Amino acid sequence: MAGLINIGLTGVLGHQAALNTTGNNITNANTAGYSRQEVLFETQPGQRTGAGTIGTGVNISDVRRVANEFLVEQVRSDTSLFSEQEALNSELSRLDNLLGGESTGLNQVLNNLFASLQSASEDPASLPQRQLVLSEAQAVVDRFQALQEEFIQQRESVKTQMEQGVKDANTLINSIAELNLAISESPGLAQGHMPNELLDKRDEKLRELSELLSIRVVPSEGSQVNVLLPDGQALVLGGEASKLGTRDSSEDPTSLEFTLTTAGRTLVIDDQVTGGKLGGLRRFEREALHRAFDELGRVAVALADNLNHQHEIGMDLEGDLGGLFFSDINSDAAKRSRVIANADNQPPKDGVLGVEISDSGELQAGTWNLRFTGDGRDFEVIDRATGQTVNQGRLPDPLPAEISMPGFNIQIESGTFNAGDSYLIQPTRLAAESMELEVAREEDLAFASPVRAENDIGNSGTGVIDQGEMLNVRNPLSNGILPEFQTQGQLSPPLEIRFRDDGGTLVYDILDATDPTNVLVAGDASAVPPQNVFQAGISNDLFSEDPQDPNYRGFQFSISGEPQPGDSFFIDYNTNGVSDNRNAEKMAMLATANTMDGGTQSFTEGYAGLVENVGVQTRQSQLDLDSSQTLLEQSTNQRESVSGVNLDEEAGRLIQFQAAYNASAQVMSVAQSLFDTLLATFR
Amino acid sequence: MIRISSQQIFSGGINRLQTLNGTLQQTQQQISTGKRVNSPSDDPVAAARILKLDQEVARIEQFQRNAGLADNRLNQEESALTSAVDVIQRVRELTVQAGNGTLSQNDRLSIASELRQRLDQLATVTNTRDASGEYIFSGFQGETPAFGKNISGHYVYQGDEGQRTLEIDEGVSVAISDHGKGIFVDIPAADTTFFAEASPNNQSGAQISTGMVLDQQVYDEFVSSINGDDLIVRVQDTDADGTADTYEIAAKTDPGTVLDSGAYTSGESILFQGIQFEITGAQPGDAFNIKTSDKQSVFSTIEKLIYGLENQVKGAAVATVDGATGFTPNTGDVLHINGVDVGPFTAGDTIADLGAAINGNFDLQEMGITAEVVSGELRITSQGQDMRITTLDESVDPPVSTWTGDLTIAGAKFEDLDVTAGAGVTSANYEGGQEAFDDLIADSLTNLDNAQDNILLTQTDIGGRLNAVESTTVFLEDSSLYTKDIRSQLQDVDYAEAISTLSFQSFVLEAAQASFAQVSRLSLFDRL
Repeated sequence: MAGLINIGLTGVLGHQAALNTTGNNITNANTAGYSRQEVLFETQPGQRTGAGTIGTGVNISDVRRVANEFLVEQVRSDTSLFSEQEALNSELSRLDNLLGGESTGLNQVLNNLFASLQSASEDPASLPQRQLVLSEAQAVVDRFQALQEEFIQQRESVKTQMEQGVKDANTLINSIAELNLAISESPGLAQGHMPNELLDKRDEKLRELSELLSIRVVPSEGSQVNVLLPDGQALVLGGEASKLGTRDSSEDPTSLEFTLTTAGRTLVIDDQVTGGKLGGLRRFEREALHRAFDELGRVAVALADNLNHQHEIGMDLEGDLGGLFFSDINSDAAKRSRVIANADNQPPKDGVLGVEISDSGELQAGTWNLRFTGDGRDFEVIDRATGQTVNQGRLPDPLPAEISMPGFNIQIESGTFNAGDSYLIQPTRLAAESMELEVAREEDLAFASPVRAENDIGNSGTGVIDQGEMLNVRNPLSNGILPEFQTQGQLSPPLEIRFRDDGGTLVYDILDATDPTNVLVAGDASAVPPQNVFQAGISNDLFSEDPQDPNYRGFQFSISGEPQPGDSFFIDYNTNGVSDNRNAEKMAMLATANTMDGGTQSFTEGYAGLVENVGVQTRQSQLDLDSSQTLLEQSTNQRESVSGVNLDEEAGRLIQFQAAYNASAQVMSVAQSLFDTLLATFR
Repeated sequence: MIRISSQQIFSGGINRLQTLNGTLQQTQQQISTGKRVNSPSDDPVAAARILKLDQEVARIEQFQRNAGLADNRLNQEESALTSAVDVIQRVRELTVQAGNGTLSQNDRLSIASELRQRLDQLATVTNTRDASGEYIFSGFQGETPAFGKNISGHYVYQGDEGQRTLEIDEGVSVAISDHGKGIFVDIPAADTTFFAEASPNNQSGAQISTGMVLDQQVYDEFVSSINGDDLIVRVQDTDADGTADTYEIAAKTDPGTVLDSGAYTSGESILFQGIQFEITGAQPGDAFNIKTSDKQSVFSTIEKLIYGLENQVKGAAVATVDGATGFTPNTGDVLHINGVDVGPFTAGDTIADLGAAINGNFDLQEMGITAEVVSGELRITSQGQDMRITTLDESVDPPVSTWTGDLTIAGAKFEDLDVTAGAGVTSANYEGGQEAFDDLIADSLTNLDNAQDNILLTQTDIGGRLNAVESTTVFLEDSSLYTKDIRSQLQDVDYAEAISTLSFQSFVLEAAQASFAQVSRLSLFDRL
């Protein structure tokens, strides 16, 4: 009877524990990271008798946490993937909306600028029209700067998020180390009784950490886990936590790099931070934002270069040469700003370098590394996007040296370099930011062309001279102002083209119109090759377009028709040419001219390329986000399917355990009535 | 059988409702903005093309504006030219009127005075300004009147040969102005003329008058002798007192050979080879160009006409032969007046015999040529036309001398006939004003007709340009429609599709909401 009571008792106690566990399951149905628990019953050791073994009741062997480590691991890696795509997508969408927006993109202001130039060319002397061009040009500058400012803000926001993410990760890393300790010290561990709630907590912290970056979790002694970065650097070793950090990159001070401090030693682990929110932010910065900076800058450089050149060879309302339209792309300050010395360079750190844009039409958006090797005079140029060496050589002694790249030159003026020194070359990164409008007054807009031609009234032939085309006011070789344009407001000298019969061949002399005895280039039919021979029926170019030729004057005129010997044509400065719109037309035509990417892209297409790139990246990341979300949902479902609490199931268990509890109590009741019966027989 | 946790039932349901809400919201956004592509990532390739098409649409709109502006400008120019033709037409009428032989000197002066007004009117027309006050015929120099009076009061072109063009379609530019030089100055002249101008390098403000041709024949011969070369007039300080005192004339291509020189006095006429001009205020070292030209501006034509009406005296051409010394023929000598043979004379004949021979010649009577002896000399008078008297028979080539005696006839315009023993100056022209005047009228009419033709040519050209502008406008409208249509296909939402999608998505969302509510209500605890 005592046995029966005991048996009943074990049943009551056992099912009480089972009911408690079920109750705990029900109440924790919505706790994040909770794994459902179940009570494992086992029979108590039986009583051996001669007739055999008689059972002595039930015993609880363990309260088991229902979990599958593989599924938990799967959730973690899918979380890293999802968080990476989520961060990437959210940043990309911001960029996407910025660039594509009608009111925020570059397209509309560019269209407006060129439309205003078109309007102004109809009435080039009108000040209101000129004012409109100036304000539209200012709008273009403002839009470039605003876009660049937005990029910078986004870069700063990414950096802030990275710093915050690193802080969060450190908190989690510390918690995991502490939980490791708590788990290894928990009583009953030796008997195989796991501290279920601590394990749940640690799994949840690990999952939260994997939202920030990809980790590998390796079990170790005493139910502890080690947390490693993908390449094996340890974040947590048992109870020891390392510390993540960020600092300004020595290569590019505008961006951050990740560090890891373990036992006082700090390592740069920039390339190991992949996946998770931190990896996503890093990818965004590397793959989208830097490229956006460079691409926008490329459009800015090309626009400034082309409009500057066209404006420079024009003449303003007051008869002066046009000068700069936007700020000079090759000012000393601009050249210097395109090179950033690595902070880790060895002393003396006295390199003076600059990047000159040599041809905005060939310029590609990108970032390069100039790295010195050997004795410090060997160099290589590495494309950062591909990591490939695109140029290498040896510096001459003495400096200066110039390293030619497509569209730009790296100018090394002076300095001593050590092996390992490196410089970041960013030809277009800052171009949009440093763009300024240089034309201050409406009158200074150069809509006219500074030269014009006239037929002499006394001509007897039918020769016609065109109004000419400006090529340059500077010598492209030396960049100095051509002698023809060195005196303000006049052509030095004005030219006369006079036809002459040279042994039966019609030739022309190019004379100084102020002193017709001064023959600049004489026609000579018998020279080899013949000089200044007029060919009827075609348009005869008068000057050379090769800057090395002494007959290069920065402009070209041509004569057609049939001039007679003695006929003269005059080329002079376009004094008072206020109604001339030739240069304005030329400037307006730049709108659709293929000025970029080796003559295949217009400004709009260049910008559209950037928009398309970001659009494609955003769309791709949207798809990646969707698929990683599906993956995460699936793995979460699988984990839930094993570890999640189903309330209906728990309700069933509740009934089941309640019934068993009632029955066990009934066993005790039977034992009691047996005992009473037995007592009554002795009364 | 798969286990489902209660959390899954809720979170799964909620996630799916979220997704449905998201797609529904996206469809709603498409419908409310009317755009299928709201950010580039919606369709990156289309987004890039839309940017390009936006630019295209903006450019087409600009081109349409430009075409309208070009149309306005060309119409303005066209109407100015029509006014100019009207003025020239009136001048032509006046010229014809002036040619009427019965007009008195006063009548001619009053015609000249109206011509002056017409000249100023023509200048006003050629100095037409556009809406922003620029002179439309001045080429590039819109702030300079196209034609203004120089120091001698003649209208000269002050602009340049600039022509403004405007882009009215991709790569299609149309000229929207014409320079006055091409329309009003470069007009073929009836006779070779010249254009005088101060060299641009002169340090002083010296001026040269437009000048005139006094004797076309002399000038023509001179021009052909120097192959149409231009002339340079250099003013010098020979006595080195700091003021200009001499001038010299040289051909432009051979500046070293001085053709003529003389004393210089400011404002006084310089005569050279049948032409006349004045230089005013020259300093030593100044140079002036005399450009031989077979073109003449319409202003010069009218100015010369006025000059002729005001100054050309119409009278008879008179040649005189001295009775004592002028006429000593040998027997058989024959004289020729305007191609008519007079004679033969006999040795010892006097001027009375010469007078009788002329008056008795029927052909000469027909021409209105008569002779009378007055105070010892014979006056040969020609009414209406000039006289050419020669001792050569010019009806054969080469002319043959028909005079072996002595003959001197005074009154020629440049050089008198003066023959001794058959040799000497064998021919001379004796001019009255009438023929020069008739020539002037005829030349003026030709020049005015040439001017009108030139303007008509420009008007035809403008008409062609207007046609081009019009056809471009039509084309631009088409391509605007076309471009917008493509952009719309890429960018705009298909409403029928979007709305049916929206209603389907709403239906799915409602169903999901209803079923979620139903499923989540199920619980075993409710049965306990």
